[in-house]
Amino acid sequence: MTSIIELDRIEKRYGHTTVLKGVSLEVAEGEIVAVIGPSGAGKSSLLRVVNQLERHQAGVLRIAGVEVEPDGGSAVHALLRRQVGMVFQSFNLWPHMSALHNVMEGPRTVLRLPRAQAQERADALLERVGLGAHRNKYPSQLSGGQQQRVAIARALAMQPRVMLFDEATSALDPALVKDVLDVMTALAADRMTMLVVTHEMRFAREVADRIVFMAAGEILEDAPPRTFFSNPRHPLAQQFVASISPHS
Amino acid sequence: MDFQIIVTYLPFLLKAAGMTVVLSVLSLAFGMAIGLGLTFLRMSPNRFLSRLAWTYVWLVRGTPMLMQVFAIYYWLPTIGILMPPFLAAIVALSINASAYYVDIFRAAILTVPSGLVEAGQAIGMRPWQVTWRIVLPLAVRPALPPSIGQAINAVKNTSLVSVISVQELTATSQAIYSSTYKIAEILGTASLIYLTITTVLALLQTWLEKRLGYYTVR
Repeated sequence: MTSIIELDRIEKRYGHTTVLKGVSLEVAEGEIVAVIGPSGAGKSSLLRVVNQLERHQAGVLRIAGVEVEPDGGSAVHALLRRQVGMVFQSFNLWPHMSALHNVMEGPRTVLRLPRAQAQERADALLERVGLGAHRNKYPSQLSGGQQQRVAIARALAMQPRVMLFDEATSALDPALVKDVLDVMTALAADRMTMLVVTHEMRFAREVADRIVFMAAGEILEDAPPRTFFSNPRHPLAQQFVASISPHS
Repeated sequence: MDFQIIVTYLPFLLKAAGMTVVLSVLSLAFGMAIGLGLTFLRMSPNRFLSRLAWTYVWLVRGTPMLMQVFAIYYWLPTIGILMPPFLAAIVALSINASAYYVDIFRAAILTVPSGLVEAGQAIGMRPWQVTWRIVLPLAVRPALPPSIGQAINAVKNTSLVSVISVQELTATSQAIYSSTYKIAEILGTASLIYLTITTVLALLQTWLEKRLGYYTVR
């Protein structure tokens, strides 16, 4: 299988703080990779380097086999981002647009699709995330879980080759988490390539093909969920697994 | 109070008020356009452009508008730039307004959460697309109250171009009271006319704030 995402010894610093210390990771087409670990491990930074919302200082990033230079310019980064969908922890829906227009915006403005075609695509996606009835509502009229599902539809509207989820359920009321996870699980079932930073261990265990465990800017473990959760090797991973699953 | 004098001269005052409105509308349109352009320079990552815009704002805001009017009408001709009073008035008023709009627009743009910008970047929008589709539409609402405030200032500032013989409301009022000596009547009426114009702006603000309430919870 071909790698969609390829990180080779990526380093990322903010001032004197190094948040990614030479991270290497490959994600193959159709693979679902969950990135877990304690806060401050560099999980979000890793995700944000993949679509160049953060630029790396060293190492090589390849998306679908093409190297992406951190100083490649906005045109290059815009083209990269068309292939890489991102879902944020805080939804980040545009408050001045209805759910439908949030989803149509990418197809209209970036892909320059005709209005009818963009709307058709947006409607189908809103239907798919279970929000067809809410298409004309503004973000402020939707619950957090509904907003996040619109945000997923917005990312999917670009027909990306890979989806990044940056703690997509962390800001949600516990009762609303399930609806979002259901959408993510359905996406995984369709074999959408996904790189998922999450604190939802059940989702990681049941849906992901691989668990990537990060701490202090490094990937310490990369294993199938069963192996990782039953037999973590690195001491920090053992500690982490013990702290999150006292019952299992 | 001599009401007869007000009735007699009201048509002249209203005609002059028309000039005040024309000056206000044109200088606000140009001032806001120049101000928006300078806002982009001011917020540019290029330090030279940013400092250039900062310097413009510093100079224009930091000197009396009256001096600016004199400079444009009396001093610019000495370096070969000659303008009729009306044009000089528009130029002076526009420059003055633009300097104030830079920080109004900049402050409004800074209220747009960076996550909304990133969401645009994340779907592959180019920087100008993020600006026009996301940042500016979202900056309109926070910019509105101070923009109207500045527009009200701009209306009152038009009185200063009376010094270069533009026949707007203040110049006409002065001409009338210096021949009739009815200062209270004439300036009182002129003030009421200014108040009427600025009231329209205040009401416009209320109306727009309601119309733009789309992203508050309804």
